[in-house]
Amino acid sequence: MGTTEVLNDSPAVELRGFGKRYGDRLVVDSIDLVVPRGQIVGYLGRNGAGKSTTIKALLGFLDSWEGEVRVLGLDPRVDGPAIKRQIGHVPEHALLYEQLTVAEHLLLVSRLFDLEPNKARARAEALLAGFDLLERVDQRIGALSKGMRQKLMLCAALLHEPKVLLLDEPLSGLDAHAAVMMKRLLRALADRGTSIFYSSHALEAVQRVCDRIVILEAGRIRAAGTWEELSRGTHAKDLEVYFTQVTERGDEEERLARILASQG
Amino acid sequence: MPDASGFSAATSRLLARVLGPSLALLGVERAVLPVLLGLQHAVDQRRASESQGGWLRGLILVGALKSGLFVFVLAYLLRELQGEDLLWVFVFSQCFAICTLVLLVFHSDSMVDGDDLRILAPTPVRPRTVYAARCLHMASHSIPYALLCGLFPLALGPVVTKDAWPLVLVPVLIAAAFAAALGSVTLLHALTLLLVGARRFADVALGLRVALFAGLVASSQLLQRLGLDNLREAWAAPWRAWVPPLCLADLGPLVRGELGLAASKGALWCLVACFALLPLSILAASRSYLNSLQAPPSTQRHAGGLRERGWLPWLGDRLCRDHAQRAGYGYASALARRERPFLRQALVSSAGLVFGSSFGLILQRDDGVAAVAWIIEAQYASLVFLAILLPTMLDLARFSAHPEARWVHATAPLPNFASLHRGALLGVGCSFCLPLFCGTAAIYMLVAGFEHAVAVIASLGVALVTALWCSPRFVFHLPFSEPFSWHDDSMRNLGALAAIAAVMVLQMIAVGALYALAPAAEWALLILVALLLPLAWRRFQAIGGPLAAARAPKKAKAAAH
Repeated sequence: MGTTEVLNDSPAVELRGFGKRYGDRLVVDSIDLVVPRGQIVGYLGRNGAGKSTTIKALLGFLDSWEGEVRVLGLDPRVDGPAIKRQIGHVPEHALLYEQLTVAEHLLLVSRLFDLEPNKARARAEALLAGFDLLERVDQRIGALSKGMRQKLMLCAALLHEPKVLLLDEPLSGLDAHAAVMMKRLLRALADRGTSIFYSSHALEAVQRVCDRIVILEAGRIRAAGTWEELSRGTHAKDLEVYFTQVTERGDEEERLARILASQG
Repeated sequence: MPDASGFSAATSRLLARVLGPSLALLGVERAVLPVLLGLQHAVDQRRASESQGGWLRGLILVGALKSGLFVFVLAYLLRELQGEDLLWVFVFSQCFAICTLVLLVFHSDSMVDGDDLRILAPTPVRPRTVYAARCLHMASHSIPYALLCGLFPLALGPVVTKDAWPLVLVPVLIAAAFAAALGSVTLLHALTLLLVGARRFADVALGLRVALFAGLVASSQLLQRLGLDNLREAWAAPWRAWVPPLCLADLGPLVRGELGLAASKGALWCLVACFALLPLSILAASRSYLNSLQAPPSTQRHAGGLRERGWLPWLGDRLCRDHAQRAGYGYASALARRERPFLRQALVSSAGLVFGSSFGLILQRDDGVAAVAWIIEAQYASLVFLAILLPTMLDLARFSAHPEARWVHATAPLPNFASLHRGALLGVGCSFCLPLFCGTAAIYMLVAGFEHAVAVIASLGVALVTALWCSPRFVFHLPFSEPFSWHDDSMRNLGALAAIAAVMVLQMIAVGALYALAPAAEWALLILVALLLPLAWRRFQAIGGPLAAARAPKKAKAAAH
């Protein structure tokens, strides 16, 4: 595709003073974050904390921002195609063409990424078999369950052997077996050098899977580090308790009371 | 509930208010009706584009206006048959035909889709209320076409008759025609579902819509070829007073006081029947009808797996120049054969035109028309295909019933979308247009004889190649993406309408003048269209479309540097 080459020694993701404003609304406020190669970083935050905006910036979906954003050493605004060639993305909601079959979707993705057909086919078959979707290869996506669509999205994201995975709720809809397998898969991929940016509200999974955890609140990083580092000096027995402590606003009881009051 | 604005939304609120008491007698909940209508309009105005873009709607709107004038002029010239009263039959018929075509192509999805019913099913809303809301929603969007059909007859009627009674008669006829169109389309769908069941309903309904469309086109062909003698015979026949729409000619004398109620019974029962179809349709709707629409999506399997087979992938491998084109070709050709908006709108109009115009060929053959006329007919058919299919191809290549699924393109390492869209257009052209053209060529050859095969294939082939060549080059200059609406924010649509109207008026004048000067006026028409097309496209380019953003990567690069 382009002539820009990925810098081999650069971190997978690098944010320096990254900020984004929509009109008067400051969504992300001066974030500094580095994701080294081969690491799984959990990116957590409440709804509206700025997680999706960060991912959009990494994918080059934003036209402008403050500060610096680098993916594998490249600027997403300038070297978008080169970066996308190395990124696999699984969005929160499986947005797929309902009338395409599983095979057709993977064929589409393989062509969009200009993969060699025979290799792409072999890889797709292996991924489908691994995710237990091979027998549904001719089934229309509209007929698949939520979990199956999620698996298909993961197959598509891994088809071109990306160096960086951006995952938004990757376990959503997966049954227990598939979720366990997914966690093991992510660990194995990271051990092989793939960097994984893992955004999720499933805190138990994040605690198990991620090497480092970053917690975002109101566009700013409130906490960052390994779970051992974060939990040191606190009484939080797990990430859920810690997260609640870090991000609480103090009005939870009042809001709960208002909801209950509305029910009579 | 947001108060949806715009002409259609206002019209549906008015209809709900005016028809509410009558609908309440049928078991429709008056208080809930405006809420459902507002919901449907709000969804319509915010949807990216599930139905076709406004270009084609604008074309038909202007066409309705033009046909109203044309029909009036034609009928006026034929008044030697029976005074001016045949004129009103033409007005009714033209309005009925156009409204029915519009409903069949653009709006009768409401009769088949059950997506919103899954949301409404748990609520305590009666099925008839839901059904009535859908009917009024369809009506609100198609009323402009009826109004435009009646504009010229209403303005010119008093001039022709030198009296004021057309001011009463024309609105009655237009309202009756519109009510008949709406009622017959909805009733047909309701009865079809009751007869064939949910499993086959979608396919049978699609076939019925194609058949209806073809029937309307074929009827117009038949009427054109009936000849004055046959028309005089039909007019003088005793059964004329009872056969719609011929019986409606008696309304003219009735309004003038020249004919009594007893003698106008046929016309009056026809009027009543027109207005009764919609209530009958609502009565036919029931919980089982709405439940049937919520059948799970098809799980039809396609053999092939990860290895593509068949002529379509083979053709794609040879036509596409790069991987992005091939990617676009693959997904667009699959969607073109399966997605609802395309199947239900493009297929209905295109296939209907093929079958309907072929009927005219058969009639023409019996007249012993010379060989050159077949070639001209083929060229006309080609032009019609181009006019209908080009916007369809362009719309489909940009949109899907699930436009959010386009994210997979946005995350792909493509420097721009031009190649992808070219491939998508090729895919649509090969999967959809090519079979239609082949079918048309086959029909022509079967009817005209194989001695004209070369001319027919050459003519249609040129049209197909032109469509495939032109469409990718215009892909970035498409107008608006939202369905055409009279919403204040969409006032820019009026500019495109004006451009289309100007082209059509000039075309009429030019064709008329050229026919007087030279027999090969059809070629002159092609040249005229070719000259005027850049003007129209330039006007369209002023209206921003979603693909304008696809040109932004260069700007973003410059900004980043």
